[in-house]
Amino acid sequence: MSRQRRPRRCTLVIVIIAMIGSAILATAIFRSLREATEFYVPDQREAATAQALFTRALAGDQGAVLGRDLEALGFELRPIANTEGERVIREIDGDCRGRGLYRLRERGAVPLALIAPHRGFDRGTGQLAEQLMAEFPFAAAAWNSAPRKITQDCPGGGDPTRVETHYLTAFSLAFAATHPGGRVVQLHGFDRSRRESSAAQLADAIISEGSDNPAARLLDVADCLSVALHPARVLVYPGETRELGATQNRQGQALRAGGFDGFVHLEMSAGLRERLLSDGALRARLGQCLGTGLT
Amino acid sequence: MRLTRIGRLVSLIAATAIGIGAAWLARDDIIRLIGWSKAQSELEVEAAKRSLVYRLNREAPLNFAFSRPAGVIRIVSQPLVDAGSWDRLDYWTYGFRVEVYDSGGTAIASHDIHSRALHPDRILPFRRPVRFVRDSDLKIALQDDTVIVSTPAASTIAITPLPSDPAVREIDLRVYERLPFIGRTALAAFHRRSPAEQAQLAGASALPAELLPDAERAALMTNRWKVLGPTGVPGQDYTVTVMYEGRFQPSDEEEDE
Repeated sequence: MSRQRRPRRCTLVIVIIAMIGSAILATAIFRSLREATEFYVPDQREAATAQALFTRALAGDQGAVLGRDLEALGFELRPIANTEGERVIREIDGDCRGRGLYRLRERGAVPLALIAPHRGFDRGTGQLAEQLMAEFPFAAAAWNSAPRKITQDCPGGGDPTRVETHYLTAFSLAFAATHPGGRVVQLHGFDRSRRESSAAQLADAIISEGSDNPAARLLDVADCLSVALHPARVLVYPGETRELGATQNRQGQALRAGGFDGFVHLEMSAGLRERLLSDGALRARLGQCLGTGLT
Repeated sequence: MRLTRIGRLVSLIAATAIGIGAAWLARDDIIRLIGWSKAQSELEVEAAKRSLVYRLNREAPLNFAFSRPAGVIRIVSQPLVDAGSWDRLDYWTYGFRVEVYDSGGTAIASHDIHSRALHPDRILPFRRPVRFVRDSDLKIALQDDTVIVSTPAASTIAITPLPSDPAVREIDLRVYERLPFIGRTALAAFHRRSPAEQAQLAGASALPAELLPDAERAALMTNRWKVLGPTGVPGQDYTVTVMYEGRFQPSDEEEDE
């Protein structure tokens, strides 16, 4: 009997070892595939350098040195045609590594930065930021320069809101340092059908600052939006819904850690985004609310 | 020793009087024991819901237009009272006039509504929602619900405030029209709602929306009200404010206890 059992045991051991080996091999292969993205993530030192350069640019530094310093980080600084005092900081042409696209306005600007970090993925948010920037004298706007997921045309797919040292964080911190009483507004889009609570499923917008204790400044914007966008339902995290609170948003975390209380995370349903893109009057009310309390 | 009937009656009355007297003397402690003290501030309130409310104006009426001729009109109102009167009074009397017009603009009725808004602390000592407006010292008394039946059906209404208690500084309200869902229309309207909305409608039912019989599904839609905004431009023709509704949070001291 014992002689008959031994081969079976050997086979079992071999099968188990083979399965463990396959699992290790699969993990290694898939990890390398996952990490195949060329989404550029600067280290702490480079992020600090970028923050210093963004601060100079936001302060209106016109020197040629700034342009050269930005080039060393993979950016180019260009004036925007047919505008006065507006510049853009963008990735060097053809390089799609997700460093971001930044538009700066110098004269008579309201200290507000609009950010659409998921342009393309959150449909309409990029265009909405562009429209608002054109229609209101906001000081700056920023967009992701690579899609959220890798594509054939752009290997630099990634999510900048998940990366602590991303240039978007450096830009946000630089903006907060330049405009301590200003506001950094991130525009996002959400899919109602993917929400878990009925409150979020029925919401048109969810506004938060990434913390469980929203400051009065956020409630000012929320109240204004409730009136301006009525009958659209605007909810505040966490009192009115426990979803989409941006508590893991790296830019929000970094800004709060730096003592800045002007971070606003605005999630919009697809229907509201469509209405805002096509209805100039509604968009004007949104822009006015985002600028509430800013001079 | 045995008491006579009169003696027993006198003893009973005396015991009752002593009980009532003791309860009266200890009323504040009793309220504190079974409810919450009104000394708590708004800072301890966790905002759970925000709603738009419209403020009555003494200079010009607040106008509402119904989406279709309305046979029934619902108005939920609340007075905002002086903080100074909050600790002294149990209720505040206030009023407003509702003028009802038909589709041709002809006045068909005028209703003077007088209500007595109760103090939430003293009358309802349970943990119930508390309402407030940010950046305002005024206190909000309990809401009153008014339903007006209009024959013929109303097309528009105009609301103006009437003389109220001196402590009543403002009157905020919301106007509702009834959704016209009856019988099969109600069932069809229920089916047209998204699963999330159906679940919300069936929230108070014992069964989830997908398990409800058709009659109950239709019933969920037959008594629905839709809130209306006033006609005109906010800030110019009417004043709109955001009312917060929440619950008091127990303080650290209470949690330690």
